[in-house]
Amino acid sequence: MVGDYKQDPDVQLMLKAAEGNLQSFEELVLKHQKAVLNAAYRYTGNPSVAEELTQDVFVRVFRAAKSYRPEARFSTWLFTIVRNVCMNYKTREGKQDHQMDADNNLVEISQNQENPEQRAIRRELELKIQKAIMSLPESLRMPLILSQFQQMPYEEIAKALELSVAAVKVRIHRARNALAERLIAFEKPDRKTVTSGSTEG
Amino acid sequence: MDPELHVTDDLSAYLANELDQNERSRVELHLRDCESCRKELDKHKRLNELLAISQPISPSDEIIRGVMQQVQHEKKSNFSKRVLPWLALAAVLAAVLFLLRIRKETPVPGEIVKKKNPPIIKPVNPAPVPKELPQTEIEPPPIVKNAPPKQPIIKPEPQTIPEESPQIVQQENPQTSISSEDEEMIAKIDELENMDVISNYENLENLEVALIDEEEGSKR
Repeated sequence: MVGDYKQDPDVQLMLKAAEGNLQSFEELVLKHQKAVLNAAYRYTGNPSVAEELTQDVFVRVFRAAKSYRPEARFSTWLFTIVRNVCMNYKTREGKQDHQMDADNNLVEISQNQENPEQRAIRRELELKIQKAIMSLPESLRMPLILSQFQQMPYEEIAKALELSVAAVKVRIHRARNALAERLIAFEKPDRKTVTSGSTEG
Repeated sequence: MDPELHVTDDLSAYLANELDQNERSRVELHLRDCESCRKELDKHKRLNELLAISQPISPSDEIIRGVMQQVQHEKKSNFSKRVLPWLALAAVLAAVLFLLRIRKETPVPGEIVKKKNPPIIKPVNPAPVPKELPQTEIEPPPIVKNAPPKQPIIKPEPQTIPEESPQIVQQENPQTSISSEDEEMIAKIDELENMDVISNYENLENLEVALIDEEEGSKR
């Protein structure tokens, strides 16, 4: 199976980085920093903290480069580190999640043709979504983030989180039910128009 | 509908395209007849729409800058960690060797210091060395009157000796005195050599006899 993943261009970059090629390493960081940052952001709900954790993730990737073996896709291995860094952060900071501050932490992303009212509704919904994600138990949060926001296949999530595929399937379904309960049950009918179909990667 | 047959637990995987073909067909068949599961499916579709509102954030330049700074710093410190102990070890070894040498060179009071043999100095104008030096010149064969004539004189092939060869210079014994008789003998051998008389080893015995006869005849 090792040979299969050697075709992965990210694995090639990582192997070069392991030989001390900083340019390859920089290329890897530039390619994956957005995915890592957003996973950390969904997990912590705090963009500044997410940036710190993202840096921490890539420094750990560099430190682990010499012992890296291409036994899975690079992104799978990367998100194992993301999971560990996020859990360490949670342990370090105490069991309390950072409470989201709508004014300070919510990232402003301008949407075209959006009037002030729509914009306010969207911001309120984004805050609500992030709070709902952070209200999930630890065991459900990362599987949901990787599936919903990183579009990772269940099998890759299972490898990254060291779970069985069946366990991933169950956890994601439970997480989605919990989110649906929080987000849809109290949804006002007039706000349904705000939704859009964009995803991240 | 039998609640055990509901497919609600598979709906998230169904929407994420994580079911194989058989499971997918089973879910779709069930959804046709089960309104409860259809409502559940609508709920999950709506959840997907809501979650899509949440936009991704963009990384600042600070991330890549911070990471590369840290990585370069660690790379340098790793190099230092690897190299410095060896440098320190090399320095200690050099110091120890230096001290040992100083101690060896400093004579202890009462110790007999051995003098080193002076190097062999070649004379500035060494005596010319003949290119072909026959063995007989070094050890001339003893010629006795009543000696049995069967003792052969072995003449080795003339050896070409490079000029200024230190070995030859050492072999030369300047104190070796050659008597007038020997000189005569050498001259005769040289003469015969020039005449190609002794070029063949088989004629050596005849040569010796001839020389002895000639010598006896001259004495008479």
